[in-house]
Amino acid sequence: MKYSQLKLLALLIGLVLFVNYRNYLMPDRERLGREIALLQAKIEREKKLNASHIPPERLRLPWLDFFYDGTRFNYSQAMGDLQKTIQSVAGSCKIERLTWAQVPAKAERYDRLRMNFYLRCTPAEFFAFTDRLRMRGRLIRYDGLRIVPTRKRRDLQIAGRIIAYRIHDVR
Amino acid sequence: MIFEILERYGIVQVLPMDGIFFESKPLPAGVKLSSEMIRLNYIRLSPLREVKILSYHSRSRLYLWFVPPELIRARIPIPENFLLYLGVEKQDGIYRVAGDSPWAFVVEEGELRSTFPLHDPMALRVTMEEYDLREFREIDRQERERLLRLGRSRLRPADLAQFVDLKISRERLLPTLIERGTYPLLGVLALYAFVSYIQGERMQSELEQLSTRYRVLKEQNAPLKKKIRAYNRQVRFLEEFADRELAGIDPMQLLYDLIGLIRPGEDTRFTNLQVGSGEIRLSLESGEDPVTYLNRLNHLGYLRNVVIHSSRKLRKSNKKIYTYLMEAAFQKKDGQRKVP
Repeated sequence: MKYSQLKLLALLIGLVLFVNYRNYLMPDRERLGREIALLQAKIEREKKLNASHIPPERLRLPWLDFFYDGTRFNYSQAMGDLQKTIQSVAGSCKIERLTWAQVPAKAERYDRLRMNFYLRCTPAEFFAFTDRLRMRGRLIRYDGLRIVPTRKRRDLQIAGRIIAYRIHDVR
Repeated sequence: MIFEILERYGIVQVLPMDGIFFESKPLPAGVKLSSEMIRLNYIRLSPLREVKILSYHSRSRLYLWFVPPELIRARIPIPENFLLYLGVEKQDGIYRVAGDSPWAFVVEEGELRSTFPLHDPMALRVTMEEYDLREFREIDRQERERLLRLGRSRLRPADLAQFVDLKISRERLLPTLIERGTYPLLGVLALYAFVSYIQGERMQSELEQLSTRYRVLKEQNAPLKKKIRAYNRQVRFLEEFADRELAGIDPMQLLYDLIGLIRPGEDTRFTNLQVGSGEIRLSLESGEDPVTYLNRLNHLGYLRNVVIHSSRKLRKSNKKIYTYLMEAAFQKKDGQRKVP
């Protein structure tokens, strides 16, 4: 075998080995580069989060200031508390009647606590009553309000429904 | 620097002038002759039978070196007189190069004109008269080495390329390529494979380090992230809650606004107000024009479709009870009165 033929053989073997190396063994540096860049970006994000020192109280919503806690109050207890609250803030508003259903109106994660009320007071007294009720903290709203003047003229007969909320799961 | 490396690896060779015959022939500017044409035209000038012709195209001349083939050992042979010619910065003059067999070269009008052995001082005088040159310079061994170094540094790649003979016949091309290119090519491929493998390994190891670091940081941040996720869930819930529960009309807002409906001095009073889910029914006992109140109600931006639904005359007085029907269209999500 001539020397040049040996070289040709060596070249062919070398090329075959190289092609196989490139196809099957050579690390995909482009992919590795992308993965490294991605990881670096993720690490930066984590480092930033780690250094942010978010105080725990910033991540705590005042749920129980807005809603009745479903783990502490069952339906009747919550209605009883709402009734007491209404009575305590009534002031010069005369509460004629407070009624509620035995079964709560359920929503997905909370109950609507619907308290039917009948009041007799002046408009100013009714505004003051509402303000006091809302200042107690929990979220309430009126529904189906009906206002009729009484024969005494100065007073109004106010009927409607106060709705508060009892939440089951605050997580 | 490159010249020295090429010289060290035997790719470039500086040819001493012993046994070499030099000719410088005029050539019109821009004319380039192939090595075959040069051989065909100038072989007759050679004093030797077996000879290899090296050539260099300057601006207006063609330099020819007739070299015995056995003197050429490297792929790029550069004659010594050419390097010295570059070393003296192509300055006109006659230069005598000292050595065992001294020789001289002539530079006239910036061109290398002649090179010849110089044993007889008479030859020098004849040459000076022939070229009409007064400049004469003696180059001793040390100066020769210095000028050769200078010449090497002034040699441009284009100059170097003129001394490379790359003419290969078509039939010999592939065998020559295989003969000369196999090992360098295999070397390059092996080097590329090695470098890429090492690079890949390094990147892999860096990736593993980064993954570990990321995992550690992620574990450290996991409780905080959990809290943030929970917080975001709660915020989403509150938004949905507000949309569902607090989006309708706020009866207290309506009451505040209706207080201004009846101005002082007007003979009007409320008799009934009902606020349902979206629909509002208002009754007024009034001796005034009912359209006045209709207009005032329409001025409240959030009331729509305000109509006088009915009117009833009271027997005891000249007043009437007007019932207005309207719809509330506003959605007050951020009302301060709603969220204590």
